[in-house]
Amino acid sequence: MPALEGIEHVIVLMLENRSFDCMLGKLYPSDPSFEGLRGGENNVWLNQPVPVWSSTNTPLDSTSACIPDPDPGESFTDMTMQLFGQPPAPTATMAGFVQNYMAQTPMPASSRAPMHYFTPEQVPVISTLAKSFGVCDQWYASAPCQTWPNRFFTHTGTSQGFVNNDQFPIPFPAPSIFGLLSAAGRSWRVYFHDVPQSILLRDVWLRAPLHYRFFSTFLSDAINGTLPNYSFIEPHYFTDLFLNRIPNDQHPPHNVLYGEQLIAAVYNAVRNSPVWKKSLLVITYDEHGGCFDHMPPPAAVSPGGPLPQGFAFDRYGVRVPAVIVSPYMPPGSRVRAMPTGVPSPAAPHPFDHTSIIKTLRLLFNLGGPLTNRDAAAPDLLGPLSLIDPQNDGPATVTPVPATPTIAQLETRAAASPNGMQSALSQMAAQLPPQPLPPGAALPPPSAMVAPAQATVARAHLNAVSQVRAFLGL
Amino acid sequence: MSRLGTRTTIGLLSLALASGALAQQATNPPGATKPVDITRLTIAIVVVIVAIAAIWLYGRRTTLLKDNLLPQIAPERQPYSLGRWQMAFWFVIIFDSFVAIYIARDDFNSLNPQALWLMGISAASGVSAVVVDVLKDSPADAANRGLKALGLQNYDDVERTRAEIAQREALLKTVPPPANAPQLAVEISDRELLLAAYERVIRPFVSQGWYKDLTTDTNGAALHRVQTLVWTIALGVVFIATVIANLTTGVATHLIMPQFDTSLLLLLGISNAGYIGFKYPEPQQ
Repeated sequence: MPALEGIEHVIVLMLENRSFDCMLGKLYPSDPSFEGLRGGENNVWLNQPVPVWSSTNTPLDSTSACIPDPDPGESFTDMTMQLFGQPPAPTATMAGFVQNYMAQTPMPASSRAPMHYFTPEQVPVISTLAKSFGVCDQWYASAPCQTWPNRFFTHTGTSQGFVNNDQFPIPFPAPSIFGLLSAAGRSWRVYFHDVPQSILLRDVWLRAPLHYRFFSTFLSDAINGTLPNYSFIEPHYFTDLFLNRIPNDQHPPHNVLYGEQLIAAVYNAVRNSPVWKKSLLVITYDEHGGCFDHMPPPAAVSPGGPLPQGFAFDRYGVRVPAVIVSPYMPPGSRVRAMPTGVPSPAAPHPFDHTSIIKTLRLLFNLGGPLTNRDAAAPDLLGPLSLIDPQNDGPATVTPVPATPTIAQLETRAAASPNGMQSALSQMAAQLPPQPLPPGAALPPPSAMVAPAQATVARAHLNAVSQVRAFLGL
Repeated sequence: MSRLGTRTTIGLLSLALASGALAQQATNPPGATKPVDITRLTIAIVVVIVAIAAIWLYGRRTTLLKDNLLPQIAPERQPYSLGRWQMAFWFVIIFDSFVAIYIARDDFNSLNPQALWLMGISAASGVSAVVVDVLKDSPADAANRGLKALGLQNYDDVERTRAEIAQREALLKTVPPPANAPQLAVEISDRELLLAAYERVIRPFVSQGWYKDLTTDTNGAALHRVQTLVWTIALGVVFIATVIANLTTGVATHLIMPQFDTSLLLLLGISNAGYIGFKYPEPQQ
């Protein structure tokens, strides 16, 4: 594997809550081997088929770019209904997305919203990169759960049995990839915009001020060629009226064009960095967020450990987009770890977020697995098959111009926080009020108790204030 | 004129003479009145000083002379506005001159076209400055929107939040502690976070003192502001000196206020236009 010798910098950008079909389902419409949308996929609502569809606006207008609006349900219960329908089928049929969407209170105006997808022309940045490098149509969220379980799987290979955002002990005690990197003397940084969700990891609490930087630092580190071995990038989760910033995480109903701008910024920085030839950039999403995908998630290896809420984490979540960018990746690659079609429950397994852990462990000699899940996960080094790092891809990618209006900023700030934003606000109240000194005793994990804030603006204030105090910013 | 009257006016008189403006006035025209009565002059000076002090004190405690870009800031902490201050400056000078002349001479026909032009130029500048503030989306606007989204519409809301903290702290001090003490503690923490953020947000927009407020923006010293301030003060000093000098001599009432020629008025207009022109792109303090 040439990449094993050549890659020294891994960058992961994890966005929010979009399914594979939603973002890339129409990437290769004429390729029968590509597991994308054919056009006939549908759900049924009130005995009427609700097919997949796309708005005709290119470039996207601010309404189309925010579909589905309102935000679909994303709790473990919601996802179970989306996958198995109601009454539940014995196996996942992907027939319950519309059913679950219309079960919300108040009932959304349109049953079609969760069946919406974007065409490649509407999301040109991620589509261009997917075609110029590699797209994985077998990358599943690690668990059929909300953001936090999936992000914890990304960092630790487990969610320790918790299925929803607001139930985790803080700090989250599972050993993480950041701990392995530190122990091996490898450099890492988390680059964030407002509130880094990964700050909940017990592993990082003593090291956080040394490793957490704003996203602007990522851009300068890339240009200066000083990127660490592992960079994890967290998007803007909240609306910030003070800085006129709107979320770029693509979490419904946030405008996907701002996420496109973020992807472009990351790619352009890495592509034009002195370390480009030694880099691997993974662009993926934590979970599908209630957006339709037609591929039933296969069985998964349970990570092991406690199961406080009864779910064994023995099946994956819904498929999410994953674009693999590296000069070692042949252009136009379809990155797969197993035969096409509905995967079997046995090895070989598809990619999931723990493939990132597996790749980093192999690449940087970090030792054994964190859990059974990342032990079984396929790594990304095999698909990086070029002998020499010769695929330079486009020199830059250009996103669709979009700037939030004052009215849009104010609307978002006054809205009720989504599940992720509420949980981040509650989480922040558990953070120590200042950076922990080296060698300090870590507090035992405790349950989150702070009340959720009524608006995005208040949730943002709470989360940002306490995170900055903890990081000493 | 008494010896005291002569001493108090001689310095300003010299300045006015040096400007050349007084030279135009020094010649008594036909119909010049008799020199002023010293008692009336003293009363006039006292009234003028009281009026200036009243405007200054009122201006410090209210938003009379302030920008008021963030209504969430207490009036006494609002930064001084160059446009408003300039308006007030000419208003005070011309009004006080008018009052002083009236008291001293018992004649209210002292306003001349040049004085009205000065008030007009400063008023136009003040209005233009306000229009620019309204039109442009400045960092202050973003701060205002952000604070409003947090429930702080104005300074009353800040004071209400402080009162709510004090009220809950008082409840927590009761013996035995109330059953909802943990909830009260969370509510206090919530409000303290809000006020901490409030202080952080308003910090760049609170007054740094009169001179800094008038001569700087968030980038530091601003030449267009300094220029406007200097020319305004220079012409103001000349105006006052001329009035005092003429009041103590036998100049006719309608000629006591200086008759600035077109060039001087144009100079002030250009200076103010420069200030307004540069104000649009400037980051607001």
